[in-house]
Amino acid sequence: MSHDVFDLQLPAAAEHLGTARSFAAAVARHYDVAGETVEDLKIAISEACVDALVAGSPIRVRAEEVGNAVSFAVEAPEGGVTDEQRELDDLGAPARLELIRSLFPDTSVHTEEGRRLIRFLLPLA
Amino acid sequence: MVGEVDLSSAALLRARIEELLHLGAQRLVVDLRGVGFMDSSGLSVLVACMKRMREAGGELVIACPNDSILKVFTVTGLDRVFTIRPSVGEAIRA
Repeated sequence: MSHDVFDLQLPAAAEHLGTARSFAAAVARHYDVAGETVEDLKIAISEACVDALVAGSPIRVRAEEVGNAVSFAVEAPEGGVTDEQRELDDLGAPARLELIRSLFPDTSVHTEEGRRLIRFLLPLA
Repeated sequence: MVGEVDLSSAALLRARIEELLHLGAQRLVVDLRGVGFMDSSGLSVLVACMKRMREAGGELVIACPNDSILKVFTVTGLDRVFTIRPSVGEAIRA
C-alpha cells in the first residue's frame, strides 16, 4: 500500500527556518489540515529545527503519512549556528521540547548513531 | 516589529530593544501586530529584555492581537509573566 513521503534538506543556517516552516505548512495543507493546527505545526517545526541547528547540520525534515496521521521527523547531525544565534537560544533545548510537546503531546526524541531525531504526529481528520 | 521572529531574526529584535534601553527607556511597548510568526527565540529575547527593564525599574508591555503569536506565550506560561494587550493604545495605558 503506497503512502506519501515528503523530504526537505536544508543547509545548517538559521535563515532557512522559514523554508522549513513553509514546507511543513504545505504538507499539512495538502491534507486539508485546519489553519490553527497549521500554525501549531509551524511553531513545532521551527522549534525542532532550532534544536537541530544548535546540535548539528544539515537540517532534515521528513513528513510521512502514517495511517490517519502525518509523522514529522527532524534530524540533526553535526554543525551549528553562529555564536550570536547560540546566545539567543538561552531558553535551551528542554524549553523548546516542552513547547513542541505542549502542541503535539506524542513528541519523542531519539538519539541514534550520533544523530538526534525529534518526531511527532499530526493527526488527520 | 514586522515579519517573522525566529533564530535568524531575533538578534535584530534584541539589538533594537537594547538600543532603546541604552537611550534610557523606562517603559517599552513591543508592538507585535505586524509579526506573523514567533518561536522561542523571540520569547528568549523578550524575557531577557523584560528582566533587564524590571531590574532598572522599568516595564516592558506587549501589544499583540494575533492568536497564533499569543499561543506561544500561553503554552509556555509566559502570558502570566508579561503584560499583554491587544492594541498599542491599551498597552500604553496598561
